[in-house]
Formats: sequence, structure tokens, C-alpha cells
Amino acid sequence: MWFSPELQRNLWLQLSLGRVLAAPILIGIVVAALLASWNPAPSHLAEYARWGFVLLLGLWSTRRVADSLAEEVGGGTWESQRMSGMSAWSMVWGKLIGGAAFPWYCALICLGLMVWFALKASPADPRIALGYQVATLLLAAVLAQATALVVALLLLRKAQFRRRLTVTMAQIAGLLAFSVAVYWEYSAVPLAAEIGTVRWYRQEYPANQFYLGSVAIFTVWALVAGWRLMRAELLYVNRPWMWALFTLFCMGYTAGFVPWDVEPLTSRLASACIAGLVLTYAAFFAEAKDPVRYRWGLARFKALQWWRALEFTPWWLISYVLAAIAGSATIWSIVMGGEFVWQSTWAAELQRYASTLTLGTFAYVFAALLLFALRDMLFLLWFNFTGKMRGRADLSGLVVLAIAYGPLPMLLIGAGGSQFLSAVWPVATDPIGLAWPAAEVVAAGILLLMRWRQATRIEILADDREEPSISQR
Amino acid sequence: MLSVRHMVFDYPGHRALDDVSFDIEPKSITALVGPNGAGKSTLLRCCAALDRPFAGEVKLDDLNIHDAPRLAHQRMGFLPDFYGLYDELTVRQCLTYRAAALGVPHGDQAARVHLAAERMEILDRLGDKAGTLSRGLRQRLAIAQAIIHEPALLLLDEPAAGLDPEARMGLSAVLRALRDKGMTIIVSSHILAELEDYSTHMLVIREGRILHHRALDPLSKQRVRIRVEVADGEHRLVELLSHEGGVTEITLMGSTCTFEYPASAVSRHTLLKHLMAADLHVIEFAIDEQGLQEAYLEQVRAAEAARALPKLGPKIGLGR
Repeated sequence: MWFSPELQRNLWLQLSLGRVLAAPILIGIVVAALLASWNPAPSHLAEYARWGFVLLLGLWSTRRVADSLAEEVGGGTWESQRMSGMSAWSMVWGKLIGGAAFPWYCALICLGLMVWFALKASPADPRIALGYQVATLLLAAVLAQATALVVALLLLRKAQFRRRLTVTMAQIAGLLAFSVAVYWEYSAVPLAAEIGTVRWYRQEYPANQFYLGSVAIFTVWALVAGWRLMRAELLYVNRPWMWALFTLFCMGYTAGFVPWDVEPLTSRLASACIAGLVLTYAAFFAEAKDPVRYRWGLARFKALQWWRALEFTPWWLISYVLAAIAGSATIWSIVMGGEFVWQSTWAAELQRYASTLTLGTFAYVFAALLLFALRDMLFLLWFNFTGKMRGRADLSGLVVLAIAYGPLPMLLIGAGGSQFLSAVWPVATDPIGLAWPAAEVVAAGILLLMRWRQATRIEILADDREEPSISQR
Repeated sequence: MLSVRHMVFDYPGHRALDDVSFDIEPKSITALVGPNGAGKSTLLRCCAALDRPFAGEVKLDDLNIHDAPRLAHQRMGFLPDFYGLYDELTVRQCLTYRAAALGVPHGDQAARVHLAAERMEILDRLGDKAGTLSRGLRQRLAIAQAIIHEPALLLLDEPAAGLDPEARMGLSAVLRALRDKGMTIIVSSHILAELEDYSTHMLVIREGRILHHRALDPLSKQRVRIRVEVADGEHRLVELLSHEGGVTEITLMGSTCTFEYPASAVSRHTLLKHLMAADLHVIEFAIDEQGLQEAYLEQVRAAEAARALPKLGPKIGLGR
């Protein structure tokens, strides 16, 4: 569909003739007032116009995009939208552009003024630098709006849709994304003659080009995330390929920034593992942890319906598995002396295995990191499957983790129990240090299993029916 | 038209739909009845491809609606119990937006808007903002939005909630008219009196299970219940009826007698002729249509009795 009905509806609501005429008149009055009172230099006026763009899109449009979804849910029109024949993509861009049509209209006027005054200020400067600046600003705005929409959709899926809170959280997330992208745009100083460089996978790239490319790629990812979440809302089957790809992309992207050339492979694998673990936590808190959904997925795994089971696979598990692979490869790399070296004989390889216990403490640290992350996931799931806690499980879990990783180790050290530090922090230096988190994983697993049985016990009021067959679908 | 097979839907700790199966006939109005919490709304949402069941399938003709929700939505309309309208848009804009969202070609949209507004008798309100409409008119606009793409199946969840008696009567007329145009309709409600006006079938759901599903049209049954009222002082009615072949389950209340009898017009004509030939002072002879409420309660009582039986005697299967 070349023209989204959702965009059309938003344009009807937002771009009335009065508003379309009022915006340039008001902005014109402000510019005229500035010129009449202070007569600032064109470069200053370009800066003011840029700030106008940043504030309009960073603050207002992110809020509007999230609010356009919140209005639907609060106003009871969301279900009829879900019943429409529009594609997920049509709804995403209809909301992204349409939901904030008026802020965009005002911001584009500001952007035009910025370009006008920038050219007037230094007409001799290379225009390509200004082009980078404009492109970065536009992409940053799209990234911010897509991020706000993604956060709003995530909160909608988590069934924690409180309008003000949702809109505010989405706005903050969008603003953060915008700030990071625009910070790059500022730090690159594209109008200045000297442009810094960024080192990525041993290659030097001009900073403005690298920033622009990165913002563009992350904007595409944010749009893809919005599209996938909208698909889920429209009841399309979503399998976690995109999340797996995104995790791999982030692992690869961060691994490129390893600044040193010593043992680059080990360092890159370690960096990828940490990126994977960060995404594991992010995915866990972003997802809804509905025990029914976990039960459905498990039932399909048990029935060997792998393809359908993938539909229910939690994102955090995907990221954790990829992080665990990267972590294992890191340990392997450390064991192998820092680089992957193919051993010529099996005896030499065995010797390498045997020397695991003496080679580099970093190997233990990464093993501990993976165990602690697994322990946290199991513990947080236990929290989420607790009936009374379900509504605030994520927040409570975050508080508990903050205490577990913050004050608790400090208390332990203060009380002279440093030898037990590996029980609360991933600082293992020997196999005994790994035994602590391993035992905690087992304990969290047992707790979760008990809670799982309780949470997924289905109350069937009528009689003693058997479990339904899932072979029908 | 709509075929539901072995549908199961769970909420945490509670099975909302338990092995639900039924078929909906084309061009029928099915009253989906049951107490609060019986699973009516969940069933409708699953049938509307708004929720995905754990097991089972829902087919609209040959289309599995959960495999192709967008295609299914283009062939069905749904009005949830809590619906909203875009208050700042005019009625025309609301309908045009909905037509576009449901894939009606641009060139046909104006005609569809006109037709839907005409059917819902809101043609004179096309220029009004939705936010200025009364509750009854909002309901009409909401239904107009749900039918703007001429769906084969229309699902309505508690459509009469909050409407005044006049608006409810209007709604009944609208639903009958839509059925006459060939639409198949499922209406959920726990207010049985309103459903009685227009329903052709009754689907009783309780505790997530289908208790009963049957046609309500008495003429579609082989036997009907007939009510005969005679003038005061006439005492021969029961005696005469007991000698008529085919009469069963006679109940006498004052001067009115009800009984089961073959439904065919010829049989009923013959019986009436016999009564008149006996010079009985008949003042009313009519089919005693069983009220929806009565039928519903009858099914509930039967189900409860069936549930109680296994405890007393041998286990009785419930359809499995």
C-alpha cells in the first residue's frame, strides 16, 4: 500500500489548515524578533535553529509517537486497528510519520532555517559536511521515534500499559537514542575542517562517515524491531530470527572496537560475549514472562514440534546461548594461548585441555560470568512466575540484583569474607571459585522448577479432562 | 461458514476455553450466551484472530484464520465490548479510514461509506464529529465501521450494553436486516431478552465449555410446543387432547394448555380442525415459542445434572 490509511488518519487529525499556517508564521515571528532585538550572527541563528529541530523531534515527537499508540489503547480503538487489513509495516510508518506529523512539520522548518543560516554564515565551507550534519540529524530523529514506538509496543506486550508511564518511558528511551546519535553529530564537528577518525576492526574510518553509517544501521534495526513487534500485535507468527541476527550484529559491532592488537581474537570474543550478556538482560526485561506462553512453548518442544516451538522461544535465551558460545570460545581461546591454533595431534590437544586449570584466570572469569547470568535469569523467572509478584516482578528483580551486585559484595569484604567473594561476584580464579555460582544456578533452578509447577497448574473447573492435544495446529 | 475445532485457551492458572468445537451456519444469528467469566469474550477474540489459542483451529470457510489473520480480517468484522471511536474525526472520515484500513479499493470507498451509513441510518450524520454523537448513534457508527467491507461474518461482543430500550430495538432491526443481506452474525451477551428478538441459534458456554448449540427457530424442529387457550368453563380440552395422536407432555394452567405436537403445518391444521369440530371454545391456538432464557436455563440445569451424575454412578463422557 503506497499510502498508509494510518498516515492519512493522523494527517487529518494533526495537520489542519490552521496549524499548517500557524507554524511557519510563529517560527517566522521568533526569527524576526531575534533579528530585530539582538541581530545575532547567521552561525548563531543556525545553531538556534538546530536546537529547535533537536527539541521538537527529541522531546515532542518521541512523546507524540508513543502517545499515538497509548491513545489507541486507552481510547479502545486499538482492537479495531488490530482487526484492520493493514500490514504491520504500513501501521509502523503510519504511526511513525503520522503520529508526529505536526512536530515533524515544525522541525523541518527549523532544519530549513538551519541550512539557510549555515550557508549564509560560511558559504565557502564544504557543503558536504553540512549534508552529513543534516543526514545525521534526520536519521537520529527517525531512530528516536522508532525507539519510542518500540518501547511503547514492548510495554503494551508486557500488559503494563499505564498511559502516562508508558509514554514517559518511551519518550525517555527515544530521547536517549536521539542524544547518543546527536552527540556523535556534535562530537564529529562536521563543519570543522578537522574530522576525527574511528578505529574499527583495524581500519580507520572518518568519524562523521562512521557515525552516520552507525546511526543509519541502528535506525534500520529500530524500524525492524518496530515492524516485528507490530507483527506480533497483529498475530503474525514471529520466530526469533531477527533477534538472533540483532544479537550477532551487536556482538560483531562491539567486537570491532577492541582498541588493542594484543590477542585481538580473544579480546574480540570476550567483547562479543559481554555484548551478548548485556542483550540477554535487556531482552529479559523487555519481554513479557507469561508462564502460559512458556508452558505452550515447552509443550511444543516436548511434542517435537520444533518449528512451532521456536515461536515461543524467549529472546533472552537466544542471546544467552549466543553469549555462551562466544564465552566458551573466549575460554577456549585463552586456553589455546590467546589465539585459535589448530593442534596437529590429539595428544597435544589433550595436553591443552589438561592445562585449562592453570591457564589464565580470565577463563574462570568468563565461565563465572556465564553462570551468574544464568543464575540471574532463573532467579528472575522465579520472581516472574510468583503470582502475587507478577505485576512488579521486573522492578523487584532489578532491586534484588542491584543489592546482590552492589552492597552485598562490599559487606562481604568489610566483614573480612573476601574468600567468599566469588559467591556474589564473577571473580573466580580457580575451579572452586566456579563452584559457588554453579551451586547457585542449581538452587535457582530447583526454586524455579517448584514455582513453575505451581504457576502452570491449570484450574479446569469442569472435570478431569486430559491435557489437550496440540497436534491439531 | 465458521468452524471451530478443539480450541483451548489458557490464562495463568485458569483454562478459559476447554476443547471448544462448534460450527456456525451461514446466514444465521447465533446468540452466544453464558454467565460472566464463562469465556464468551475470549471465544469471540479467538474467532476474530485477535488472540491465538493454545490448541485447536478456527476456519472461516477454508481459511485457517490464525495462519492468515490479515486475510481473515478482510472477511470478518468485530465489535468488542469496549470499543472506541476517533472522536475528533467526522463520521465520514471514520468510515473512510476504516474502509481504507480494511483494503477497500480507493474508488469504492465513497460508495461503501454511503451504503454502511445508510444501513445504520446515520446518513444525515456523516458531517458530524464522532465525539458529538449519542451513545446509540456511536453504536451504529461502530457497527457501520465493522461492516463497511461487507464481511461474511460479524462478531459482536455485548453490543447492547448501555443502550436504552429504543436503541436496543433499533439494534435488533439492524441485525435482522444484516442477516437478511446474507451476513452471518455471532452476538455475545448475558442479557438474554435482547438476543431473543433476533437470534436464530443459541450457543451456550459455561466454564469454558460449550454446553449446547442448537437452532431456536421452532419451525426447524420436528416437534413444537403448542399453546391452546379455551374459554372459561370449558373442561374438555385435556380429555380431547389425550385422545389425539402425537400429543405428549400436556401441561394445564387454568384455561390454558401446552403440549408437544408434530411441527408440520398439516398436522397442526388437522388438530385445530378436530378441536373446532368438537365445538371446543378455543380462543387461542399458537406455537409456544420457548424463551431464550428458559432454553438457556434448561441447558444449564441439564449440564449441572450431567456433571453431578458421575459422582453418583458410572462415569458419563462429555463428548469425548
